[in-house]
Amino acid sequence: MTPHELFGPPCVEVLSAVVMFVDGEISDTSHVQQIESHVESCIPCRNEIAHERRMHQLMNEALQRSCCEKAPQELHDQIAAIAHQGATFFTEVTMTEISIEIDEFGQVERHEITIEHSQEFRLPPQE
Amino acid sequence: MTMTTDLVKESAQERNARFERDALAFTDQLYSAAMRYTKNPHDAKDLVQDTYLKAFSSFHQFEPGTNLRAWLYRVLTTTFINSYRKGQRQPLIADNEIEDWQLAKSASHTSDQGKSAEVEALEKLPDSDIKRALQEIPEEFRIPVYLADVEGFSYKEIAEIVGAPTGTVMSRLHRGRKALRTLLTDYAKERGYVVEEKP
Repeated sequence: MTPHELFGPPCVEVLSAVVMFVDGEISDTSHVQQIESHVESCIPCRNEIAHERRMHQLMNEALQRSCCEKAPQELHDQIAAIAHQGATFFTEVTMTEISIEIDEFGQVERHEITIEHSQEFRLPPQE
Repeated sequence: MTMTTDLVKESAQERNARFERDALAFTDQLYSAAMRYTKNPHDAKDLVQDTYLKAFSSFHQFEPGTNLRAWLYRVLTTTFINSYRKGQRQPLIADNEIEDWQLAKSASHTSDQGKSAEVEALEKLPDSDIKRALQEIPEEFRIPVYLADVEGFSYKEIAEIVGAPTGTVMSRLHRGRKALRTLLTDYAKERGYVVEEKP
């Protein structure tokens, strides 16, 4: 048994994983167990995790409460029109044609033709 | 709630009806996200409309039974990145960004005073300050924070939505949250809610 397995991870390792631990994003179960057993005996790390958890919850609540604008009715109507009547999808293509001609006197002539490309969605006309 | 859809037999009309039934419910949610992305109601409205147009025309590519909300967020985010931030492109973050946050976080335990200042800021500040702080952080950090902490998406889902590797998303999310907390603590100090730490 290595000293690491015997004493568990040092604080530095636990602290660097606090956010992922609280997010429930550590997929390695043995890593999760290591952290759990470390915090059983380490009060500063336990406090750190408790604080992170509380901050996480408070932040989520504050953000969810503050970010909840309702879409204007006009937008709801436009989107209903897209779904109901179908929207038209226009595609235009770009092509560049380059041709080089060399005449009998050895003069080079270069031609370039570009065709624009664009993609555009258009709403059905309003009634 | 799960409805089996026979895609082979489904007509375009049936698919449109399915779109109307399932996708339209997310309009308010997507609008609120678009407000955080674009920072103004006019662009937010256009962005959501474009998102639905694109989602509608590529709805045949959406696999029924998979996460429609995540799929719509991917359309929203891709549309925003491709069309709404031209001319204000920020330089890509260097490859060392992952190590950077790991070093920053692993330094030490937070002081009790620092902890209570953070908590107090979040408990006392008005919603307008929370929104203002979110607006202030750069979009590559703001978007992952929004997707994780408002919408509750996992790191992996966010990586798919923003089209970046999970490690990059994780780094930006952690740094974004840290920046947000620092800003909120600063606001709370300005408003006199939190007493300055004594040296």
